[in-house]
Amino acid sequence: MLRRLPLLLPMIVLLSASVAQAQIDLRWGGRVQSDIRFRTAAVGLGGYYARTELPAGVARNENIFKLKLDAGYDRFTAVAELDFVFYGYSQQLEGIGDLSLREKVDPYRIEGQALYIEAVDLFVNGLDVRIGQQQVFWGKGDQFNPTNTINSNDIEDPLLFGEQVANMMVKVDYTPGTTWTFTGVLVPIFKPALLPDSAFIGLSAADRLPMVDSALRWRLHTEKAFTESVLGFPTVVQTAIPDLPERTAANMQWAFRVAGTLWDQDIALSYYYGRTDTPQAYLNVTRLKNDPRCDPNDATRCIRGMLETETRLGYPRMQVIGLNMAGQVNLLGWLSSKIKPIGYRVEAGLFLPQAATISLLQEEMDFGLYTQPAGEYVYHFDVSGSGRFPRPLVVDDTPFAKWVVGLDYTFNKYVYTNLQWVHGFPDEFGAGDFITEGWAVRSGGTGDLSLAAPCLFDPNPQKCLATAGEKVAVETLRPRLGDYLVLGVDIRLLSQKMLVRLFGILDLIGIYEERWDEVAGERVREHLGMFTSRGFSAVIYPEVQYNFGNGFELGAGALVMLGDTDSKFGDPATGGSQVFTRARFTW
Amino acid sequence: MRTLLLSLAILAFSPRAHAETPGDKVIKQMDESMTRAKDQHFIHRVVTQEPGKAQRTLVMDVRIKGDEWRRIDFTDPGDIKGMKILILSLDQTYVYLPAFRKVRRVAGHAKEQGFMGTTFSHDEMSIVTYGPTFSGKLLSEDKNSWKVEAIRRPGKSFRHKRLVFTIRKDYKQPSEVKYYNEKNELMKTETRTDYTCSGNVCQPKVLKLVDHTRNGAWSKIICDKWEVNTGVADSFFTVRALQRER
Repeated sequence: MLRRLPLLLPMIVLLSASVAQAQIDLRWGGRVQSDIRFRTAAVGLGGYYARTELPAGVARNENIFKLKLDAGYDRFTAVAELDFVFYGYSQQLEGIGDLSLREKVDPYRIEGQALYIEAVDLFVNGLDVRIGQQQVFWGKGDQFNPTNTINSNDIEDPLLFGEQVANMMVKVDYTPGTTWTFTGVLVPIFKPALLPDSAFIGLSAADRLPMVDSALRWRLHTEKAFTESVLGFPTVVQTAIPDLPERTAANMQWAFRVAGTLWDQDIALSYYYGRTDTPQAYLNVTRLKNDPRCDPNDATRCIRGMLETETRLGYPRMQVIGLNMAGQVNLLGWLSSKIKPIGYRVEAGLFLPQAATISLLQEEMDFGLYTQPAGEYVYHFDVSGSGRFPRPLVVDDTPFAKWVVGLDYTFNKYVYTNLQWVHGFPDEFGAGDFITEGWAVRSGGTGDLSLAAPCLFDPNPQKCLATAGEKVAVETLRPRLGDYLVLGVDIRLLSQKMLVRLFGILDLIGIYEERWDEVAGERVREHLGMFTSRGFSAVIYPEVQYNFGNGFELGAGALVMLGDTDSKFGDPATGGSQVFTRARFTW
Repeated sequence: MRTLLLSLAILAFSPRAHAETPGDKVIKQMDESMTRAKDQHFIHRVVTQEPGKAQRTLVMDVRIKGDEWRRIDFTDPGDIKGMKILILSLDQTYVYLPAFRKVRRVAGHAKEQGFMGTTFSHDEMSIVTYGPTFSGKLLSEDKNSWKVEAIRRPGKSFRHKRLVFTIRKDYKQPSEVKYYNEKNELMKTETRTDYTCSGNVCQPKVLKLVDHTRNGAWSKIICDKWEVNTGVADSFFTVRALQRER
């Protein structure tokens, strides 16, 4: 018998395993998707010396294999949802040796959309716990969710706007009855937002100064113009490096929510303590690089070098108090029984941001005629001390609100419409709207630079420019929080197999151009509204999908970005207009 | 003043105010028969056929509890797998969309949309009991069945204004339902066949709905599995439960 034990043991283990296996309910599904996109025109920013650009042509050529697997046993479920994304193009090959490297020739990545364990009715009925990599979606708005701040935004693919970056967290839900649910979430480590591959173009917009203090911005615009036009050294942002918060207990994020139904309306109140996922500059280090060159298209335009700036980005703390409501109202039902209740949704977040400052440092810069010593920039001349404190704000601690108010209605079995007023886009952060003044710079420069020419001969040129900047600087501004009209229309045809969708976003604000007015003797701000050629900015997103049934779909469409380069959507950093095709099989 | 109040009270409690017609009684019996179980669990296969086109099939896991609660979990095909619908009343419906990982309240207007490309509308899929929404009028009766006209009650929301039921006396459940629009045109005809029973709870194994406005396109709900009184908890019919993985 003893001699047989080594054989018996594996058999017992195998038998036990198969019994356990039988009790585990395994389910799986998947999807194969092919995306091809074309950028219709090259987009880019910057002078000839520091041009960033994405070319026209194939912008995306991805094949995605999604695998979702969940294993359930009693009250426990383990879930894995992974996307295997094959880029569809080779990386930059640096030698013939790279042709032997599959990861260079046929690169891919894995996206972990979910990897967690869920226990339901744990210890007491109604107590659910979910631990692991997951996405928690709060908010009643459609795609625009200012109270949905637990996961960071995933806007790497602009067509999948509204997606979130999965993160490791612990979520506890308690539903004592059938109506109200209390939720607590703890996120140990902050993850930043994922940005589109066109985001780097924003580096060339060195004129989009982030400081709240307008006088400081005017001075910087003027100095920048001087160093470029007089000294031959334009300023460029060479790199922007995000610095993530340290992995400490103090940097953990957490949130609470209570959600339920009251008087037949869905309502939720939430609180979030964490960080904005929109990076803010907190440090600029500028160094002079002697690199004489001329414009290849105009040999008379030359520079002696550049002032290269390295920007460090941080994620300021914030608290968000959220309110969500959704339901239906039948305001016009008394007119006819054919008029059905309209769906409404209201989502509002009160943001309490932590003030964030920026430090401007420079290495010693020898311009030939003049040498700027190394050290920190002198921000102020009107206070005692070094002029280096307090450092300028890029976000002040004024509370601000973002909200979405939406209505939707189905006219008949063919036509569905969805209308939303969005106050504050996901990438907008900080006070500045019709409630509290605050501006974001879309572009900046100088007007008549000769007005500042006397500063060249001033014993303290920086102080002189601080005064002259007010008269010289020109800025294109928008409120930090914009207002947008989002309209979607779905038309379902051929027994719902075909979907024709037209989706659009219109910037309701436009832009403001600000400059010195000699007659008025002060700076004036001219508003160029949404229906002016300079102020107009919109997204148009038409799409056609055909569902062949049993999981097979084909689709095609376009993402058209309209507006000037300093507008919200015409900004080259959005990636420009694209047309796309998509094939998908899901099982 | 006292006379007025008294008159109002008499009116309120008079037999006329609560008059239950023979048709109402039949509908009430039908509702009672259809909700006799504390809860029911079905696996439904829904086959849709449009003239000249290939059949399409979807599979859903359906649970009903009480007079109004219904939850539908779609399990096939893949593009709708994981989608869940929770109906707490004709005016309170939620849908869980796995692609967006969130629950969305669906307003009454959405009933205008078809139900997943089938010939069923949301109303036809959602309704569990008819008495609260329709008043009945007995049109005829023979030894096997009643024919009852059901008229939508004022202020009630349902896609069709008038239904005509043929209700089997043996099961006290319909063998046929005809759906009429506001202009009294016949829109759809539903037949329920192959009744089976578990104790005193009965239900049709096959339910076929022909849409006369779509060239006779039809959808057939075939019951592949049926369980009665499973003891499903109330908490299964909550918004929170829609977000659970299972």
